[in-house]
Amino acid sequence: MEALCGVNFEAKKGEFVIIAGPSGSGKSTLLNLLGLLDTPTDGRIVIDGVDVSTLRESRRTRLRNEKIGFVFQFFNLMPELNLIENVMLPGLIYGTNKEKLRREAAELLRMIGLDGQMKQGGSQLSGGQMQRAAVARALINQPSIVLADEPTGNLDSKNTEEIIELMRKLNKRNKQTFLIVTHAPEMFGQADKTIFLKDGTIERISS
Amino acid sequence: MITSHVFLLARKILFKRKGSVTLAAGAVAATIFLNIFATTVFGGVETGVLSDIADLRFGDLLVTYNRGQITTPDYQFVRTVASNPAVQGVTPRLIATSDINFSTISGVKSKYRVETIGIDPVLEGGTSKMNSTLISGSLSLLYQNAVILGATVANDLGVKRGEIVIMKMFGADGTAHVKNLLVVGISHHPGFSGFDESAIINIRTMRDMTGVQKNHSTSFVVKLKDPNEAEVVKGWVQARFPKLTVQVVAEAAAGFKSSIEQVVGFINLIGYAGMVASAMGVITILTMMVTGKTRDVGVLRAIGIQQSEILEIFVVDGAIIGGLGAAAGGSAGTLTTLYLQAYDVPIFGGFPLVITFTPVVLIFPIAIGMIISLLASLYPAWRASRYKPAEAMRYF
Repeated sequence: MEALCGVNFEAKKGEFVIIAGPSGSGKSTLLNLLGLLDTPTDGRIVIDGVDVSTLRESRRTRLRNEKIGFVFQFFNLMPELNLIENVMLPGLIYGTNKEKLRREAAELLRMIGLDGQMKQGGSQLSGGQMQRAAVARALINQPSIVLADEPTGNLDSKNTEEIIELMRKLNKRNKQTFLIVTHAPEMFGQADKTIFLKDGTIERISS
Repeated sequence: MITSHVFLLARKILFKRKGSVTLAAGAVAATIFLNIFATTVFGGVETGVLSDIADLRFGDLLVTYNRGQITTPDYQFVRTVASNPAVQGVTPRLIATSDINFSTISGVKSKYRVETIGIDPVLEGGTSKMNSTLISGSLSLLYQNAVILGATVANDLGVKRGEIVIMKMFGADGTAHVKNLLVVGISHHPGFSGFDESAIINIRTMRDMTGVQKNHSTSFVVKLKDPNEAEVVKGWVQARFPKLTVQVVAEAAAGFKSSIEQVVGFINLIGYAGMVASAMGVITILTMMVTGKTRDVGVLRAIGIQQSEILEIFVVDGAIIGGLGAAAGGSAGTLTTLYLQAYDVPIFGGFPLVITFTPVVLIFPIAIGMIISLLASLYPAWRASRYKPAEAMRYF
């Protein structure tokens, strides 16, 4: 059984793209393919002009670190690390100078209003705070693409609004492409493009 | 080369689970401690007992003749060997078995086949520490009808110093010789090499009772000023008395040495079983840790950590467990050894251990402990590195 079939679209630099659709429509599968977490059995995924579907695993992993930032529904911060370490982690993996990275992470946390919680562990933060930290982690390596899988799915309405606003603000400021899987209708209005999936195919694309 | 983020993650992941880490490191530590303990303490027992045997039984050199009675007269042998400046003392000995009876008003108590040693009380004083084993009486064996009984023999017979026992011994021709002997001392010595199960009499009395030629004996005990010279002096004695068998104490006590080595081997076997158990402990704990971290491993893979780095994280955890275990086990082993060395802790009812701590004894157990922890971490680490990120992140 094919999870996705005939899905063909393009996201331009700096676009804020929403991927919507009912459960089982293939949204997460599409996001996993775009995030190089899964390999397509057929077809091509091109990022910055490079066909990434046939790359070796180590190269795909490197690309994920360099070019893609992830925001997950359940935040997925490392519980053993404090907030600033969590934000620094992709940069440490990339090999950025630790002090420079610490400054950048602190700046990001300040920008999202978490500069007072830098040394706190994930369990001491609210859901909204953790998701904002997860956004900061996704941006630390200044990726060209940010992928978010139901980023507001676990948040109350106030935090949902804050996260949407934050992501849109960062998208406009940094000119990064955001691809967001969501059920939240509040997000649709923010999108440059919305892709509706149904049964593994694109039902429609609205701009 | 382990990168800083791998080390950071390894350290943080591991120390979040202090209880598990303590258990795993404790298992490694116990294994290392046991190995150090077995090596140093049982080595100390061996050294101590060999030293005790040298002091009491065999000297630093034991000279015997494979046909029994040595043909060279005692005075000639003693004079020749004592002329070597490395020699502290030489004394002849005769050894046989005897039956000892003690009559009381309630009847006769008997002790059969008691090891009986004939000594020259004058030469013995400068050669062995036999007199230090006396808890009652003195080494008054200048008197030929006297006996020193071992504490066990005396206790079994119910004899005290100053009482008379009857000793029966058989000569080479099968004739029984019986003598009344005055108990002039009771001997007790902790450990294995004392005379608690023996009787000690004047060598002349023993010659009379066994028919050994006057001025002859069946063995000589040679005590050296420096026991490290034993091999050199052995060669020197052997060259002058080629028909005789000259053995250093380790050879003379080969049976005992082999027994101790068997005990050490057995303890080490327990240690090796402990190593397997600690390896299983490390595998179990790391496997549990890996399973518990499945989702986080998926996230780490998603944000760009390589498979090889996931492997490294859990191998580093294994190494940290091994390192902690090595530090704890090595320290416990070192402190125990130093304590036993400093305080002459007695064992076997007062026998002092001769323990010398050398840091070299730490190398093997610590290296093995570390290697085992590292090897044990390989499978869980490999398993973690194989997780597919998308699947791992779906894991709850």
